[in-house]
Amino acid sequence: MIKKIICQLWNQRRMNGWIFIELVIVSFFLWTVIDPIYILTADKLIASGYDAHNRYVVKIGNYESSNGNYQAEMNTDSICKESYNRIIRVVRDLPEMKDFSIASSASFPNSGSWNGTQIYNDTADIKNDKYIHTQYYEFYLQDGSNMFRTYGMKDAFTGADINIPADAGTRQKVFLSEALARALFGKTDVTGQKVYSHDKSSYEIAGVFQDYKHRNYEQPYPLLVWVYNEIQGKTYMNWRYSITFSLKEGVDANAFEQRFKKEVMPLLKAGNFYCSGLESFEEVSYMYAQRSGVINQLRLKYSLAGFALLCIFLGMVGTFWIRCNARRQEIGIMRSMGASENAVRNQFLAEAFLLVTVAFVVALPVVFHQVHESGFFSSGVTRTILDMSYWQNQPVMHFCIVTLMTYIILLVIALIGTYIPVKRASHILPADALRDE
Amino acid sequence: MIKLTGINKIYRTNEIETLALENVNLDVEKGEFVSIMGPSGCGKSTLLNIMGLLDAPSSGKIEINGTSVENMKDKELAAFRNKTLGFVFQSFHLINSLNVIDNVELPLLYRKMPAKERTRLAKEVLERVGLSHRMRHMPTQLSGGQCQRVAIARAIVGNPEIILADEPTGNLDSKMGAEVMELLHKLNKEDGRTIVMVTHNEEQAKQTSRTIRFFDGRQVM
Repeated sequence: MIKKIICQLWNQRRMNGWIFIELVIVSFFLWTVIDPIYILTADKLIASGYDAHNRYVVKIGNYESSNGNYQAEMNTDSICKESYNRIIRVVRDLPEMKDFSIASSASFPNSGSWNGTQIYNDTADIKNDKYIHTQYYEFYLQDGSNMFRTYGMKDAFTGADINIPADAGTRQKVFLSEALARALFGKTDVTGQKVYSHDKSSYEIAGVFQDYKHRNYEQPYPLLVWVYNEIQGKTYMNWRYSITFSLKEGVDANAFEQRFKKEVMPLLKAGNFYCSGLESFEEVSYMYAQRSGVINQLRLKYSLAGFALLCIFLGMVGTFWIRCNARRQEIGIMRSMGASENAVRNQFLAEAFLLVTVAFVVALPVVFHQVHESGFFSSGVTRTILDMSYWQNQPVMHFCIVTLMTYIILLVIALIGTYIPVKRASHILPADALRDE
Repeated sequence: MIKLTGINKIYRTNEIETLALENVNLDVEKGEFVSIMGPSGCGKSTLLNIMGLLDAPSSGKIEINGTSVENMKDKELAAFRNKTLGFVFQSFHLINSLNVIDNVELPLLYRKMPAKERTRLAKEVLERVGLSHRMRHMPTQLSGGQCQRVAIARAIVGNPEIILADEPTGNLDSKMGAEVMELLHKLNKEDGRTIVMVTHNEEQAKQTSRTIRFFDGRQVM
């Protein structure tokens, strides 16, 4: 049967030529649209390494000297520290609060900024400048603050809460993400080993936590966590220290947010500091995605994909509509020779399948050439280390997945576009079809 | 073999109704060669299409080989048509994008017959109609008479008991027409196939075992 269909397609090559050319062009175009969608979506689907649900950042502001609430006598480092601690303790004592954390300003997911440093696994590497670039977070242990628990970050080996040694706050110890441990040592079981900073200071690794994404739409970047005992008093400390917390299980988040605005916010006022609002981790993430353009980029790509698919669909429906109408007599002949409606439909669907498949195969070398020359879509993050366990980082696997996705989407659209007109055409009485000459 | 009882066929549009066939009752016995005659538009072809299950009557009953086809589903109807009936049309109705042998194999394709067997049977019938040397030709490369012989080969390749021919010589000159008629008579006499033929040609009708005449959708003799 397939051989006959191929012969027939070849014999009707003039009629099929245009749709074939259209399919080749569309295959190429669709591939280039699916590629970024695949990368952005696959990166987003990687586990974030923290839990955003029911987690909040308390926004703290300080009055400018021009503000009526500004008190000049409160603007010393020691009073600022006392004032800030007072605010911290009100948050810590909220009955709905499960865990809280005092972290450096950029040390929470999707925060506006990003801290990075160079780290070495050997002093010899410092000489050779063989560093690993890593992002770092900092948090402070005072008042029971625990960033790992607040964010829901887990130990890489046990999957349980991360154990913080009693002397962790002396800045002699660090915690590494799996990605950083792998980059430095080629393995993740490195607790107790040492890493070095550029000035040759050494730090003992106190634990390794599961890979963590600072940005939701990116892959996990190597991350190092430093721990300190307490915050330092500064007049601008609201910019330096973020207060974050998680809610207890079963707490109604909406009701809590209402209560926070109404009852808690007025209490979060000390010295020249005041609470300007509350933002959930989800809001922070969405705002960042909006600001960075990821959402717009995805929207654009989805729109392009949708437009391409609509064009293909309309093209296929239109072409097969014309083909079916032009071949109504042929359908009549097939029906009079004993073809059922299903047999007619299957033959046309097989024709569409063959056309799409051959056109796609023809387009593939062009796609391959394009990828070879320009590379895959880049999400814009420069990486010194690629985690090869992610398929999107393996060139062959990446190419195969995008190719397969493109082919399946193209085929489904083509088959739907064929099925609709063929169903109509095959549903007529053979005598009526034969009358169409 | 073919039994039509109280067949009516009405074509309806938004504005008018046209009665194409009115209370047609007809029996065709096994091995008969029946011709249907009548002026243009009297319903001959409609009757043949209904007999061949290519069209549905507005009312009435059709029995072929003792089987009532009224309640058959599309798939059963298609299979029944494929095994029992062979068609020869005035304008041949060959598929121009298939060559001669592929056209002849068409009815066998829907029987899920192995390709080798299909080709063997198709070659056999093409030899019988004298076209074995034109197997790889496209229909557009053949004369009218040759096209009709291909159509006859296609009609008999599946060994159906009944052949329905709608003015099979209508598009042919007299010499080619005579050749086609000879072939049909041979199929009737030698193979014992039942043939129902619509024709305008009185001479050809006389050569058949029975002639049924139609006028304005009614059987008149």
